[in-house]
Amino acid sequence: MDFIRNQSKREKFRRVFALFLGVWTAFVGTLFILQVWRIFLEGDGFTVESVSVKFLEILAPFLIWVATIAFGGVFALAFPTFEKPAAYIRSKNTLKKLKARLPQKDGGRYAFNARFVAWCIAFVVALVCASVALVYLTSSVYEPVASGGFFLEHQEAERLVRSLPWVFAGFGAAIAVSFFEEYSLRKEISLVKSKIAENAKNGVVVKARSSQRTIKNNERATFFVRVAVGSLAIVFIVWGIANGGMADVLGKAINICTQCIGLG
Amino acid sequence: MKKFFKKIGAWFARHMPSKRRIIQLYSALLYNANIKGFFNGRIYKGPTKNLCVPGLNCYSCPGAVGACPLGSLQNALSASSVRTPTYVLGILALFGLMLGRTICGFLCPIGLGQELLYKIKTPKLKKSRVTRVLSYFKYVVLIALVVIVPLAFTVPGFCEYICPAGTFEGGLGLLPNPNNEGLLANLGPLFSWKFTLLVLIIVASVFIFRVFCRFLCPLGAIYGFFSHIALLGVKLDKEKCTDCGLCVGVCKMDIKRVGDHECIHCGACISVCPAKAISWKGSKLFVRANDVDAPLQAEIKPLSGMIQKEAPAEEEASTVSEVDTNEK
Repeated sequence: MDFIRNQSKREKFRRVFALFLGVWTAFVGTLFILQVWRIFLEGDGFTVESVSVKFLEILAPFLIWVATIAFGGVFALAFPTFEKPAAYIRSKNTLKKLKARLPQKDGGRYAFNARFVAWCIAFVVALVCASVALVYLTSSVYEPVASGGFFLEHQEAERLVRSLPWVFAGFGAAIAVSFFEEYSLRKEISLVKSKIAENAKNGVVVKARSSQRTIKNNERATFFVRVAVGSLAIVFIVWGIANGGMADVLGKAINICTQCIGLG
Repeated sequence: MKKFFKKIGAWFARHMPSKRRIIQLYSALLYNANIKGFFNGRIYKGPTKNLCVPGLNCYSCPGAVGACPLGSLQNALSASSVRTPTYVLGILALFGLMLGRTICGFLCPIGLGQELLYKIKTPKLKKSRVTRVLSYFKYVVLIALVVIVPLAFTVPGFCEYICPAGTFEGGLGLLPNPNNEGLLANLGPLFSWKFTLLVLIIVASVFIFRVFCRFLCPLGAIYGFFSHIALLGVKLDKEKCTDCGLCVGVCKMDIKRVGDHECIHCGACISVCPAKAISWKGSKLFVRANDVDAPLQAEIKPLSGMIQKEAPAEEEASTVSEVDTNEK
């Protein structure tokens, strides 16, 4: 009864339970992956017997996982919780609104240049990484990753694997600069806030600038783009039906796609 | 006794699925309406397969009654030396214009599956700047696997190496059937790789909201291009917006603002906006504003003689129904 009434005890139990379920989920997932690779490595191929035997070996942990989820579901229904949404500071928009409160001549770029340079560098790095990745993806002049097996049969997979590290490097540069951008934006926000306070102290008043005309222009442009895209879509569909594109879709869809189901 | 039935009725009213969930379930069933195929292990070959469904649904699923837009696009690009792929491009443009990423939020069975897995109570990975940057990886997948690989190597790169819909719906839908023993015998390393990826996505979906949609799905990337011009979806009234950030805070996708290319238009932000600045586009024509994510009103009849029209007015009940509205 104490457990049912005491919210903090229930919270503690909830956290421990969630952690256990997380770990067990990852464990059962790993078991599934291992069993599939064991079937493949044994060399006898995938048959009903081999799949059944391998699945039965991990049946107990899988059933424990199902039972744990069922218990968790019942517990969550009996004792529901309410989480407040986390506050998320959208620095760029905040800065824009703060700058609207500065006189137009004073809406200066306090820390803008540093962010601009950082993103230019990230862009160049990403461009270089993308170019190298594209070369690996499309060129055949290099040493193969492996001499046989999966990569020999699927050379496009080999090329993808070669290009992936470069793709991740490009993303790494973008992630690093995004952290720098957040730091720089916060610094600029505090500078602008102190400027606004200083202006207020000196009696400088700024009128809000109207955005009605901008909104109307945007709506008009959106309307024309919609009409253009809609017309193009209809023309393409009619053209596609006329030139046999629709028949191609039907032809592919009514036959089993061996690549889709993992046969290659 | 009357009180007991009243409590049961109130419980059902609080836990009814939202309209968005009902639409997701209906669309998943509609895409896979060929129930017979699950029993005889054969895929549907009827004329409806001329048309692409809006969401990601493998056409090798034995239940599928429509074509997969992504698979059709890759196939059309593979055959682009013979025929310009205008039909599939036109269909994608039409879906994007009419619905945009509302398809992701309402009409995709893979998205539904991930949301249901995310409901399992475990520690969750919260979104951050890192996940926002990683969300651009799906554009890399789009360019490399959906465009370059089919054009250069005439194979559907995404379907062959990544697509979990193909492995789950097509592979696991067809292979266990005794009529397809021949297919089972031909499985090799590619299936092992795809199955590994499927299990990783399923496990990751328990901890990370819509992990496939956010980081890998090229169809979401395509529909994201139409985010500003789509006819349906959520929209933000900038005049009313006070930039409190609650909408971005409550959203589990990597949005920077409501309605951008990452927004799946689920409508969870509408109820949290204190300035009522968020509403549905086309709300006058199609839906009542702020209505889609509200739970259905339940009517409980004769056993107790009770008619339950609204959730009870108690504080706890209203708090719980707010949670259901946000989380469903």
